[in-house]
Amino acid sequence: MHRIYVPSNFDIGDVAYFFEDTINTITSLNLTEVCFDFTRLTFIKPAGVVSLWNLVDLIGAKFPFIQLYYSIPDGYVQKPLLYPSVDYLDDSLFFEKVMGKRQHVASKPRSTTNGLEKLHHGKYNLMYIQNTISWLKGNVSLRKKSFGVLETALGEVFNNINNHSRSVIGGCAFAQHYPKNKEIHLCIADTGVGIPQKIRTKYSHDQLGNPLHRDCDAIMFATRAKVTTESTPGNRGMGFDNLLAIMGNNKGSMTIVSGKGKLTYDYNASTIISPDKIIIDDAAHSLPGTLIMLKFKTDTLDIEEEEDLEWS
Amino acid sequence: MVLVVRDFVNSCHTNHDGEVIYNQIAQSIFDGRQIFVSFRGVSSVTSSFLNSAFIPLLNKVSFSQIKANLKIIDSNKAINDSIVRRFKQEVEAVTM
Repeated sequence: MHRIYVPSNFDIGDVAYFFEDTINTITSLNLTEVCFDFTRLTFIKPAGVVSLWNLVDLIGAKFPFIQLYYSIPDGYVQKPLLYPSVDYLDDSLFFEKVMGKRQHVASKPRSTTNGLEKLHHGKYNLMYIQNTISWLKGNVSLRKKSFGVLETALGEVFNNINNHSRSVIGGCAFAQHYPKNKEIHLCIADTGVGIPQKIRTKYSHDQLGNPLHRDCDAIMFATRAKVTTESTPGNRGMGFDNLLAIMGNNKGSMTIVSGKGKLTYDYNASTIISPDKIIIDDAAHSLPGTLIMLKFKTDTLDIEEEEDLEWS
Repeated sequence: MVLVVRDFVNSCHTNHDGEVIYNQIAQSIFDGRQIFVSFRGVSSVTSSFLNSAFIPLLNKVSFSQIKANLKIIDSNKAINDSIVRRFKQEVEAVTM
């Protein structure tokens, strides 16, 4: 049986290569059985978690006759703490959602994670947003905070998936709270057409007349206000622009990976290097669909307070 | 007249949610009657919602008339900032 080793370090920078390499391997070798081997995994973050599930689902959709197996370290069941990354995946419900059961009997969701959740195609997934906010408010240090901006951010991303991605398998989401760093990380990914391809269905150049040759240029263009491929009549192209405004007000950061393109907005980025705090680049490998990582600062969240709107 | 958003939609996130609210408030705005839109129980709005609930009002009346007659109450800073920002984007785009 062919073994595909999950990368030892699996974060946002590793996702595109792993997707591309896995799909190419299955295709070129005409595999009918594949074993995902987790024995080399030493470090994984939310982007890796959501990407693993999306990859498994994508393989199921592209290669419906393939049999998938999974291999975890032999000693994990007896001594899970010796394998913290596998333990983290287990507690994140990855093995339960993908293999049908948790691997260790004592595995349970951690208070700092919201558990992996599937986002269904064509459905708004309001319940995921509500559950995420309930989970955050369960943390004593965050109870009085207003999470409206997180809800809006998730809403903008979910609308983008529903209106534009055409992802047959939907996508998935995962959230983690880092209390020491005072951050909340939300990672949402789909395996649809991707932003660059979608943008190029309507635009060949940006607002300055520059050709959208690179995928990162297409992503950058998509974040501009009023840029829309008008997949539905209500689209006016403000979703990504709103997302950038939210992350800027929060003093947080946002990374979008789609195709070969990557865009990172970081409030704390050096304005000498990047005046608008945005860095874009194309990688060597292409990620099908779109992955968005939002990193919110918790100490800049407002306290929940009711107010009426004062028009200026 | 007071319209409580949650009486009509479960959330303020999708274009459809916005269309429902627009259909409830539009005629009042067009007729020059004040309408108080209460966001009690709502913690966030998306651009899709605003694009369908409020922005189409600009197709028929001026921003000044909207400000005079559309009163947002029981809201929060995030929602209010989003509404003001969204209107400004449309109004400034027209005047450019």
